[in-house]
Amino acid sequence: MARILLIEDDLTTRLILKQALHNAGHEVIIAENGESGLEKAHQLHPDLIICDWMMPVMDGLEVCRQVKNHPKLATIFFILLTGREEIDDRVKGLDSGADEFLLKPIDINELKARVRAGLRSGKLMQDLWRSNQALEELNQQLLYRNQMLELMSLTDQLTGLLNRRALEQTLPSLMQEIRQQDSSSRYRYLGVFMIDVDKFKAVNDTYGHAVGDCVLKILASRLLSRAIPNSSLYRYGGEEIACLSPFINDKEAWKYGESMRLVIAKEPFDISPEMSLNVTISIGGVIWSADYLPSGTPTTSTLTYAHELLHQADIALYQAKRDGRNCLRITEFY
Amino acid sequence: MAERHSQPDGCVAGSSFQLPLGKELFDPERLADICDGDVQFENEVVQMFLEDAISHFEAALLAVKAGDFQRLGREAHYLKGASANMGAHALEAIALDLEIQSGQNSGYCEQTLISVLVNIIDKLNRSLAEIL
Repeated sequence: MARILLIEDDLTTRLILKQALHNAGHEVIIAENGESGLEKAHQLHPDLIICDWMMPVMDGLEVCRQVKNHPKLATIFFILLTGREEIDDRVKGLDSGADEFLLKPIDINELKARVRAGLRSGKLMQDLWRSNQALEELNQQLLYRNQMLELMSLTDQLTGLLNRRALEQTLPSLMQEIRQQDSSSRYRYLGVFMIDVDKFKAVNDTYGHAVGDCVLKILASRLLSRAIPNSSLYRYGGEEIACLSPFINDKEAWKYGESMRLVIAKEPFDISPEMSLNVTISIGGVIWSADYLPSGTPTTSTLTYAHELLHQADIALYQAKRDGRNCLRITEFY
Repeated sequence: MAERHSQPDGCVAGSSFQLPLGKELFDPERLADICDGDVQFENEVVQMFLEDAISHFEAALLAVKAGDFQRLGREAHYLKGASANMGAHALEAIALDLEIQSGQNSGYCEQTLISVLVNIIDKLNRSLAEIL
């Protein structure tokens, strides 16, 4: 048994069709005009709709258009009843999305046959729609999983910071981005900092790797709390953390570097209620300006520049270590 | 529908027309077909059709009296479709003519239309009484 919505303003036609469809074993829902028919289609989601063309309030063409434009109703088989035999009228009906026509006066046997065929076709359309929906959902899940995998592949599990792979992806594109900004842009400088925990090996050797891990987590959390907009932090490896940030000028870079150093040094790290550790960091920074990358530099060359930038930041870091640790050293890119 | 006689003022008068009474109004084959041979249902449909047709002819009459030819056209269109569906061919022809007249708005004078519609309503009422 199928659920059929019959939208017809003519009382006797309605009665006759209802009886014929009922005798054929279908549940018949009646609507006396287009507006009410559309409302019932939304509420009851029938398997098939039989709708008169000429009706007051809203005609059959408009009902058909609205049904076929609604994603949840579009697969319902739609039969338009019409006394119009002109080709133009049929074209109009088909353009509105009607699946079938029945000419008035209606032949009951033809009606029953068209309904049977319509229900078969409608079922196939609905099965197809459900399959598409299932595929769509599956696709969404795969997309989500891919995004998660991508995210995981770029994230350091211990600290929650981005990892070295992410840094290697981001740095060249950030350099290109800054280079492409016009000369009036505020952010013409890129600061690259390499941050290293002072005497971290001693922490691991004295208290074990669990405490070492805890130090890294607190370190990451404090650096994040001090991070300025547009800057990003990466666990580069071991106890080394890299930071990228666009700047207006090199003074800004000094200010930011110092703020990172201080947020670590100012208070001991609470490892547990019974244990606190004084931790300091050394920071090496290099300031790169968009002018160092000539326009038209190919992406492969940008990659070389990016490696050089990291290398120079590393050299500055070694300088900070040599100068007694817990300090910031910044050089200009050369 | 009715025979038309041109009058000096250009108005066309409808004379008496042949509208069968009772079940004679309908094509019996068509009636049996749409009612699946169910006699009881057939009577129910005929009665409902006549009541409905009377109310729509009455609405058409009011429309003519009010000079609302658009409304007359809508009622005539409805009656044309409903009559065709029931196999009431004489009534279908009358409704078709009325629909055409509503468009022209000048073929029949108002008095002619009123006279035609009053006659039809009367005959349909007699048909209904015969069936009941």
